[in-house]
Amino acid sequence: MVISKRPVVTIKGGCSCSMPGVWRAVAHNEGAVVIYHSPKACGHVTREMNLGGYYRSVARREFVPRQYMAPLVVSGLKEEHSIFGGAEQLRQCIGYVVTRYKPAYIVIANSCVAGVIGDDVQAVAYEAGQEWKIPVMSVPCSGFLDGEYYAGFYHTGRALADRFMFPRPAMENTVTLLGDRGGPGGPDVQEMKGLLQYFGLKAHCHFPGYASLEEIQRVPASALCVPLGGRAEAFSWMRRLASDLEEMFGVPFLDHDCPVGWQGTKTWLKNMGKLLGRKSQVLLAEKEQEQRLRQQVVKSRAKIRAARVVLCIGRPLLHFQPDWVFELLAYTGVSLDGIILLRGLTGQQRDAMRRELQNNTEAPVFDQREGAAVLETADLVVTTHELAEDTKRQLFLPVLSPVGVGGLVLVMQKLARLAERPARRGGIIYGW
Amino acid sequence: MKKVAFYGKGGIGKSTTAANVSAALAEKGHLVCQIGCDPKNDSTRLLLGKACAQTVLDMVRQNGDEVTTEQVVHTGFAGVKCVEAGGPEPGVGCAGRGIIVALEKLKLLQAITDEHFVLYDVLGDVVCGGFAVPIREGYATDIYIVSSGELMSLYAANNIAKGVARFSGRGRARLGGIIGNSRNIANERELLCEFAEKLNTRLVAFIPHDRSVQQAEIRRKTVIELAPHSRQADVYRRLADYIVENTALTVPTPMSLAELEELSLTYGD
Ligand SMILES: Nc1ncnc2c1ncn2[C@@H]1O[C@H](COP(=O)(O)OP(=O)(O)O)[C@@H](O)[C@H]1O
Ligand SMILES: [Mg+2]
Repeated sequence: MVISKRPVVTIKGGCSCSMPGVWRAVAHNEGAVVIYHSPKACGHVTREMNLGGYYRSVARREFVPRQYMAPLVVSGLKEEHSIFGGAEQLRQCIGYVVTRYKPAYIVIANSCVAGVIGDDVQAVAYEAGQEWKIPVMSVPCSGFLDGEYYAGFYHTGRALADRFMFPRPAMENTVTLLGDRGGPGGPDVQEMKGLLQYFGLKAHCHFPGYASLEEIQRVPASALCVPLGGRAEAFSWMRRLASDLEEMFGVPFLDHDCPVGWQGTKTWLKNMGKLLGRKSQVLLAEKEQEQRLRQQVVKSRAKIRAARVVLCIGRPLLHFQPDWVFELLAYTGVSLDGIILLRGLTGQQRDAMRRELQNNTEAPVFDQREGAAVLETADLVVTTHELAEDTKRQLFLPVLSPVGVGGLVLVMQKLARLAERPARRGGIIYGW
Repeated sequence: MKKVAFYGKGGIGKSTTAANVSAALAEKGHLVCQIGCDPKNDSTRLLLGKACAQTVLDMVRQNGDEVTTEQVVHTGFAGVKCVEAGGPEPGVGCAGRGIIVALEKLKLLQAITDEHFVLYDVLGDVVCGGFAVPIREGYATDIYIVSSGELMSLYAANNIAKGVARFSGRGRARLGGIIGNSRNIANERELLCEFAEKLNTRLVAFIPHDRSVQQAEIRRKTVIELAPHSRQADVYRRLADYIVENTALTVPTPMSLAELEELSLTYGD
């Protein structure tokens, strides 16, 4: 059998656009409006992303009543602007946004086009701010020219901090969560809040997203910042934001990414305990969380352990660190029949992934073509990309590693559900 | 049709020389078109007797696809067709992109078909891909570089030669020669002769620095028109004749900066 692959996410090795990052950073911030200083088509990427996010939350039966959604307006750069400059077009766009939406503030994301032709967006933003008497901020990244998703996200956070935050006395036991992870209503943040509770900490702000102006101004009063990344790349940017806030307002931060997997959760708890000097709470937390995990493992193990499982990886290490997947499979008693590196990976990414896999597993690793035989006999496929063969039962791994024991359990339950499906029916379950 | 381009450092005298050469060719009865590829829009000023009011990009901007040949091709001295590509204000947008779009538009309009000579007057150094387009895309085949004996002018000329060499494998553009436009510096002619030789080409003219050029310029005229019997006019005519006849086109061999400096030092006083 030849595996054809329908990549749901394009694999581009660390190359993404900064504009959706800007958008995500303030998408649910009361009163914000985002302008893409870009050709019209750039808006489409974000629209798709948003629509996908919406369907995912519907699938998870998450209903967020009255969540603010920032209007996204595109300045509509055309060929003539690439020659004559797009500053005037942007000015008009800002004018439109101000009269139409009466925003509390405007964030401008720059496209590659604006970057290539060198529009002085900073100056336009400043002048517009003076003219309309509202904060207008421009983010210093230009599409995928000099940035990536998280760079846009970070720089937006930084711009909000520079503009709206002032030093305030710290409020005891308050935490600002830095990052996205689906916002306060999502399962990841709920999981996080549960862990914070062991230490008597309360998340009083989410930043830069999901925050009203009032909440943004409360960030400097936090006793602690906790970054929510989910993978190496995201964490490094969130860490940078955290360290900026520490420098600006003296708010310390936990220098550790989201707890991923059980080992990851234990380390996270330890680090937090050390930072706060609260060791006893660590022990309690560990005990309770381990119990929670064991209960689930017992339930799922029986359903999964006999299955022949193959793991398919089509994302580079930068975007997908597989260690938690091995941990999860180990708990369920599964030994992998094989690992298949999908075609989308470049030679370099393949080599890097092979090295990483050597540290984690003894399962044989195949390239896509060689892997066809193991795939043929597999009962369950755990994969980063949908495979076109819908006769196979597939678990589509979440794009971001799941947070804490809760996240691990969720994926485990899904794998168990998949194993219960009749083999010949195939089908896919989404891990997010 | 002979397709010629003049390149050279800004302010070195490309437009003045090009306009006089166009005028000299037209005088002889050739059908000539001069295309200014410089956002300054002053390439054809001496031929039109005024600044060109309607550039290609202005018209594209105003009328989009509806642009007509009449809107962008203007008639100047002795029937020379005059076109200005146009471009952005200093410090905004991308002039190089503008050149690309303007030349594509002209091609699409098939505005220049019967001419014997098309003369592209292109801004400065080959500063970006846009300004290299006349060379790269085969709009021009005979490239002339206008230079004085000043180091910076030679430097720019050498860079242009690099551009021509780079694209020589790809199209038919070759170097026709160096046009010396004097700035009255020491041993200028000899220096330019050797410079040309080093670049594997020739010094095809040495135009004296002359008051008549300014006198004509302030009256918005070429020397050919204002002082047809002057010596300066004859210099331009000889250059025009040379360009008509020249078949000794070469792939240039650019120099290193050190060599260039060395050369300037040898001839300098
Ligand atoms: N041979 C010359 N003698 C005197 N002045 C000259 C001569 N050639 C050019 N100039 C003057 O030099 C200035 C720049 O010339 P121009 O043709 O506009 O340069 P470019 O097109 O290379 O930028 C003009 O004022 C022009 O009159
Ligand atoms: Mg000129």
